[in-house]
Formats: sequence, structure tokens, C-alpha cells
Amino acid sequence: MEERIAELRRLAEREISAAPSLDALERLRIKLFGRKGGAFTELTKSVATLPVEARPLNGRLLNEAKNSVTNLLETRHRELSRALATGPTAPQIDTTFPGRRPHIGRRHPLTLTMDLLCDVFLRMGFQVRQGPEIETDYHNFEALNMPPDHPARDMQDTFYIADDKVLRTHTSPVQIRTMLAERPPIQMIAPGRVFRRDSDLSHSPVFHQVEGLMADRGIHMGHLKGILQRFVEDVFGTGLALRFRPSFFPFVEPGAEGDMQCVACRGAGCGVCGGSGWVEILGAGMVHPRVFENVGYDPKKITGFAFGIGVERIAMLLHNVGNIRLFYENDMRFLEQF
Amino acid sequence: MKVLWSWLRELADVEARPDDVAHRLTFAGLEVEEIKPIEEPTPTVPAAPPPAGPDHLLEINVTPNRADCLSVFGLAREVRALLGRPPRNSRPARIAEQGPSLEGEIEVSVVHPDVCPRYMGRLVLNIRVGESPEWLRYRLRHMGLRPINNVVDVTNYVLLEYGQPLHAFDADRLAGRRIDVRRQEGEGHLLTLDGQRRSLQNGDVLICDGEHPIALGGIMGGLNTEIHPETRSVFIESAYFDASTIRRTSKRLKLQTESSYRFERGVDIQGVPKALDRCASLIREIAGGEIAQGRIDAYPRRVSRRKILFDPSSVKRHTGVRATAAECAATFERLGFALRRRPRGRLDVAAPSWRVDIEREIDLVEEVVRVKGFEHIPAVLPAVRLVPRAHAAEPSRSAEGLVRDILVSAGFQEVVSLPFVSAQILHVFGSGGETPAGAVGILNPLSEDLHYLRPSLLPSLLQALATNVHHGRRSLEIFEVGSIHTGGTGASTEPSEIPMAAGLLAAPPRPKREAFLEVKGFVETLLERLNTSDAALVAGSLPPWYVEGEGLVVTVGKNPIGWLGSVRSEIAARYDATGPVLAFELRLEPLLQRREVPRKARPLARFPSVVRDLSFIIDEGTTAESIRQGIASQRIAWLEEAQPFDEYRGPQIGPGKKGLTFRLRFQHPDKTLTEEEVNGALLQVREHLQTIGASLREAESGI
Ligand SMILES: [Zn+2]
Repeated sequence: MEERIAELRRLAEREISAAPSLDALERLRIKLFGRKGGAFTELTKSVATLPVEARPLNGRLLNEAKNSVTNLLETRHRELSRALATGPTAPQIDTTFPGRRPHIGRRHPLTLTMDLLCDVFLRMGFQVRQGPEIETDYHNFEALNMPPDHPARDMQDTFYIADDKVLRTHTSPVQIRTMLAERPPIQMIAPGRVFRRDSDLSHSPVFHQVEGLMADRGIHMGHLKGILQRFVEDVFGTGLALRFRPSFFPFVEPGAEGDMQCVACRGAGCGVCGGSGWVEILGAGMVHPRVFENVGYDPKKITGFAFGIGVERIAMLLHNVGNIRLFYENDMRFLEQF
Repeated sequence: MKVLWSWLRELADVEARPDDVAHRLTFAGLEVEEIKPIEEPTPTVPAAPPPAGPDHLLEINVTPNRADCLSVFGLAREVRALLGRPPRNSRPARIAEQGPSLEGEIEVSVVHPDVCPRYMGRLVLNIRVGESPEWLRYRLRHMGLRPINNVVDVTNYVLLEYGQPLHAFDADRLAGRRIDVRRQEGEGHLLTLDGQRRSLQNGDVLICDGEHPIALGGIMGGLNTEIHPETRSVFIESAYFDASTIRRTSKRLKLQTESSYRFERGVDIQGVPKALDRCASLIREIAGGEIAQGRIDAYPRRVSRRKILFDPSSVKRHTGVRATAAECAATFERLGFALRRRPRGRLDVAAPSWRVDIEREIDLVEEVVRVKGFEHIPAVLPAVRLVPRAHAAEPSRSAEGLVRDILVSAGFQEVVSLPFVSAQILHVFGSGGETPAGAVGILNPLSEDLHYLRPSLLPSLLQALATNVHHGRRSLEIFEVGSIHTGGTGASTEPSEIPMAAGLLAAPPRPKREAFLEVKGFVETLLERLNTSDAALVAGSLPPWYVEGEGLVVTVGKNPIGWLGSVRSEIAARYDATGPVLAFELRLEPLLQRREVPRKARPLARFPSVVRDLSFIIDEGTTAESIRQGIASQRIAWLEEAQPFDEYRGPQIGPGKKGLTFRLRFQHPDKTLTEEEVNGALLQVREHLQTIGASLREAESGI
């Protein structure tokens, strides 16, 4: 019996080493260990028929032989597999084939830009405040130094819901709501959707703004310029200048429009900036003392600045979008580019 | 406002190039938007220097506060100040009065001086109406006014020159040879110069003769006293009307004229006589005739210059710009402000009558910095003294971002839509026959398509679907986060604004059931990720745009906060959908108000669990959920979880029946379950299923 075991082991080891292919090796495995008629299977049965005193020794020898042969089978399997994968006729992975991409969604460029702007100001210590889209005439106009019959109201074509209710024309009423509810120091931004009764190639009846307000003792227009210069750097990278031009918004004095050097030509002049090298991106100014009086702040003690940035404008410059309407058409061929 | 370079240069009396002047104006708050060369030759103007080089037209954006720059003279005054020249001395020109005394000819009475604080007039007799000379017509034409006849043209010319609106009446047609200026009382009508019949209302300013209204004061004259070729004598009106009154009437009648535009913004009340005399003289020069002696000047309450106390240190306080007292004073003087020096560098400043925008010290600060240049404002960062405080708005914003991120990671593309819908769309989304009650309407919509604020995000999502179907895209997974508006139809109800998140899935190759379960899964995931542990999806009443029985109501703490389900096919078909369209709509507030609670980890099972699948046939009407609850209610030992995972129908099962497979997972906390223990538990499940009428299909398979 011991010899039969040793003989089978030798035979098996020789044949396994010589097996030319994975198929041949598999046939050999069945020949040795198959449930029916496998050589080791049969031998195991024979051991069971031995006298009790002979079983332990032969059982141990048989197990050693099985383990050794099994190990060898695995080793040879690895060798043959490796040869198959690297040999001259082996099938190859064409790694130039396009990857199978998982189906993922994407954010809309406007909400991405809005988040980007908010993050920039949040890092500078501003906090987010929000207000309703349907505003009272008081919050949208009157408290912002635009009394009824004021010609400045012509600057913002307005949708009316009722005589004293409008779709907010800017997010500036959030300034009023915040100042009525809180005391200085205030450092807030108000991101949101605004409405103007205006629609053509370069205007949409709906657009988005990020309004900012800082009110405290000792705030001046240089701080406004400093904050906005930092904003331009954070959003567009360094090296683009910001300049102020005097302008008029009833709720600030002095008022300014802010231009930054053109992203496309960096000031040299191109089609994006109409050849001037500058693009207008915001309106700003020092909070008008009458606005402070309207919310119960003492303009002798408190000064502050406010600014309003058009989100679409920034998104168009950042992403090289030529037409504002693309943002609202929801054409996947456009949205899937972001 | 358009302004001719040749005219501006003449009145400013400076040597400069148009683009230099434009640059200076732009950086002082008067943005020159365009400089257009004029092709035709510049005519020579009597008593003016000969034209120098080609002419240009400057398009200047005059902001509403700068009414003083709505004239060539006003802009010229500004240009001189910006170029550092002293103001020109504008002594009133001597006027050649020849005719009879005005007093005996026409009587003027201002009945309501509150709407007309100053009213002046002159009479010019024996004129000859005809065509204006070329130089005058050239200037009118390029500045946007159509030449009519020499008298009307001169009033328009002086309006452009000084910014003072003027009107010429045919004096012979003034009934009773008198003029009354009054507020309209009650209703009335006036045929204006443009041939329109204008309705008059309480409070409009009217100019009347002895019998009729003859002009809508400050806006437009009446046809009845129009200058015509046979007119021989004209009464010239130069007045100052109340800005708000003019604006109200002009807005109501949707009639904005060169005149009303200037009165609304405020004309120079001290400039009224100068423009009147200039107009009379120019009419005499061009149309001949004699100017009657004397002039009307009804000006009962003199308006005096406002005095403002100015401290030069305020410039630095508000703008960070250093400006000395002397520098400030020089700027003010150049701009025509009157000064009185006070101790410690302070000044009493009186703004000239044309600068109606100067009311406070801050306005003077702006003048100093504007003229000096905004480039002198330093860019510095403020020292922040703010201690950030917690505020409800911020967590909600970040949670809104979380909603977006979850949906994006689930494969949804974000869209942003215009939030308007038409009455027709509201009708489609109603259950049929319903009027658009409950939607918030806009009183002055841009078009019928944009008449209402959307009461649901679904029309927007379907519109996006239609757009993309049009471009050959059939399947789409999109979402939008935005507000909807409802209510506000009656006077008593306030419109409410509701922040929502909604998604749409259009996937024609997928069977409706698969698509439904997919959308349901998205909503479940969203609720789970947002930590809404008391959320549930239950059967309930759905908005009419969902198919009955193919949707669920989303509740949080028993309150409905949204829906999901199949969109009715007749609605989806309107948007060119080619297969089932599934949608969900969720109110964000109940989801976002929840505070972020850190999740607590559960200990992992130390022993393997055993899984068994059980297939059975049951009545079509029995829901998987009712079976799951039934099994759970048996409190079978070690049964950790029982979930339906397959459903099938077919001839081998028979009509009115369906096959279900449940996957059961058994777990013991302290040991590995034996085969006997699992079989015992399984037997209890089978017995329960039999009691509810399920017939077991085959032996369970184990994993
Ligand atoms: Zn450029």
C-alpha cells in the first residue's frame, strides 16, 4: 500500500510538470481527484479497507501525497495561466479602447458659479442671508431710497404681482431685512434669483445676483475695493485689475460700477470686452445714509458698503459662454459640458 | 442722451479731442457709451466759431440723479469743471423788447402753485412761421428731434441747449386771452399734439385758456393751440412743474416726452427765465416779429440754495481718499458751488440750483472723489470685528447643496429654468376644466407664456425634456432646485413661496415598473442621506398630473411634503415624451430644517447570517409591503430581515395571481445558527404565509 501511494505520487508529479495546457491539466486533475474513478479517490477508499492498525500510517502518507500533488497542480496552473496571458498568441487588452464611464449627473453652471461666489465671500467672513422673491414695494424700493415716483425706478423694469408687491428686481431688499433684524457689525451676502421685465439677446427676465453688505464703524470705500479686488483674484486668478467708475444707484453714495480686466485678452482688447480690455462685472457703493436711517442705524456712527454681482455675467466670463439664454434652455448638449 | 460734439465744444469753449472728453466724462460718472463720426459736413452756426474738423455724436448715459446734464449746456459746464476750467459766467443776454406790454395782452394765473412752483411766459408778435435754417435743423436732427417749423424747432432747440422744456402756444387762439395753471379735478379729455385723445384724471397738471385745457402741463401741448403756418403771435411758456406729479401722469398715460423726462428728474428752477429769454430772442432772430415788453413770472415761493456743512475729513472717513480742505474747496468752486469758510477747514457749501441731487455731506464727498478720480480710492482689507453667529439661513443653504450633490451622484443632471408658465399650461396640469386658481399671476407679464409663476417645478422639467427630445435625446434624468409660488389669488391670501427639489426620469426602454422603482429608490436614498428618519412613502392623494395608483405621497412625521409617481401620459405626450415619465417633487424646508445629527455606529455581527429565499403565489391585490409587515409581526426568532426581491406573472401562475420571492435573513447575536434552527424559523414563516392564502411554489434555496 505504501508503495502504491508513493508510485501514484511520483507519477502524478511527473505528469503535472509535463502538462502542456490548462485543458490537459484539468483532465489530469479529474483523473487524479475526480469524484468517480479518480486515482486518489480510489486509493482513499482502499485505505479505508485496510486493517485498523495499518490505517494511521497509510492515511498520513496518503494525505501528504494529496497535499503535495494539489500544491503542484496549483503551481502548474499558475505557470500555464501566466504563459497564456503573456505568450505571443495570447489575447490582449486593447488599452486604447474608451473606458466604460459610470453614468453621473452634473451641476448646472449657474448654481456652480453661485456656490463659487458664495464660498469666496464666506471665506472672507461674510454670512449668507436670504429673502423672498415676491417682495414688498417697501423692501425692494422705498427703504432703498427709491420712493414712489422716483425716476430711478426706471432703471429696473419691474414685474408687479399687486400694487405693493413686486418680483424683487435685485437681492438688495435682503440688506434691508437683515439690518432691520440685526445690529452692526454686519457682514452678509444674499445670493438669489431676481426678476426684470426685460428680455432680449443680452437680457433674461430672470437672473441671479450675489448682493453683499458690510456695515460697522469705520468702514470706507477703500475696504469695498479691497474686498472686491480679492474676490476677482479668488475667482479669476491673480493679475487681473479691478477698477471703479462713478455711477449711480439710489441706495449708495458714492456709487460705482466695477470693471475687471478682460479674462480673455487680459486687458489687450478683444471681442469679449468690445476692444476696451475691461468688462463690467458689478455695481457697488457706500450705503446711503438715508438707507441707514430707514432701518434705524445712525449714519453718523455706522458706515458701510454694498455691492451686487451678476452671477450670469461671471459664469459667462468663467466658462466662455456668449449667450445668456443658454443658461435657461436646459439643452443637455450645453449642460453636459460642465 | 445724444449730444453733438460741435455744439458741446462750442458751449464748453475748450480745446480738446472728443475721445479725451469722453474718457473724462466716463470716469466722472457720465458714461460715454459711443462716439459716432458724422458723415455730413458740419454747418456753420451764426455767432459761433467755425466748425473744426468732422463732427461726432456722443451717446452719454446720464444717470437719473444728473438731470443737470440733460442738456448741451449742462454737459459743457461739467466738461469745463472736469478739465479744471472755471465756470463760465452766464450773465443773462440782453433781450430786445419792442412790442406792446405783455401785461395788457395776456393774463396768467397759477391756481395751484404746488404742482407748478414757477410759471413764466413771453409773447412774440408778428412772427412768420416757416422752415428753420439748416444749422438748427442739423442740430435737432442729430440729437433725435424732428424739425417741424421754426417756432417749434426753437423751443426744442433751447430745450436741448439748456435742458429747460418750453412750449409755444398760438396766442391768438387763447380763448379769453388768458392762461390758468391748475390741477385737474374730476375727469376730462384733451387732444394732444400727436392727435391722441388723452384722458385726464384728478391731479394732472393742466394749462387752460379761458375755456378749455390747452396743454398737459410739462408733458405735451394741445392740438387746439398748436403753431400752424398762419400763426402770427406766440405765447412762450417756460415753467417748473412738480416732478412727482409729472411722472405720475406720464406713467399713467404711457407718454414720455423730452419734456416730461426732464421735469421728472428735476430742471433748474433758476434757469427758467434764462431759457425763456433765449427762446424769445431766437424766435425773433429766426421767425422775425417783436417781443412784447415784460414777462410773466409767477414764482410765489422762492427756492433757495441748500447749505450743507462740509468737513473735509469726511472724504477720508467715507472713501479712504486723502483730500485737503483746499482741494475740496477748489473742486466745489469749479462745479459752481458757493462756499463760506468756517473754522478748522470746514466749509458751508451751497449747491447751485441745477444740482438737485446734492442734499447732504455724503453727496459732496462723492463730488470731491468723482472729480479727483476713483482710482485714488485705496484697496485695503477691513479689520473684521465680526463674531459670526449661527443663523438658520446657512445650514439650509448647505443642505440645499447636499440635495444637489446627492442627486448629481445618483446620475441626475441639474437644470435651471425660467419660473413662469402660461394659463394654458396651468390648465393642462389642472385635472381638466379647472381654471388656474392657486397660481400667482403677474400683472404686467412680458408675454402670455410668462403670465404666472410656476406652482410646480414639473412644467419646467417637462419643458427641458421637450427641448432635448427635440434634439434627439430620448432618455433624461434631470432635477431642479428652486422656488414655486402658490396662493395669492384673492386679496386676503398672501402668495407663498416654497423652495422645492424636483426630478424627472424619462427612460423609454425601461418598463414603467422599473422606472418607478428607480425613482422611488432615488427618493428613499435622498431621505436617508438627509437623516429624515421619520419619513415615509405612503399611498395618498396625488396632484392631478400623476396617474392614480401609480404614485406615493412623501411624508415627514406624518405631514405630506411631496410626491412621486408616473406623470399622466397625455401630459407627458404634450412635451413629446416617447415613453413613461416619472417624477418626484419635494418641499425642501421640512427636509432642511433638520439638524445634522452625527450617525451612531452599530456593532458588527460576530457570527455569519443565514439567507433563505422563499417563493410563493399570492393574489394580485396583495402588496409586498403587507406581506413584509405580516411576516415582521410574527416576531420570528432570529429573523433579521424579510425583503421582497422579485415579482413575476405568467400563464403558469394563472390570472389574478402573481409570484413573489422574499429573501429572508436570519442572524443570531451570539452564535452560528444551526440548520435545524433555521428550518424551524422558516417553517413559522411558511405557516404564516399559508394563513394569508399564499401557496408556496417550490423548495427554498439556500445561500
Ligand atoms: Zn478682451
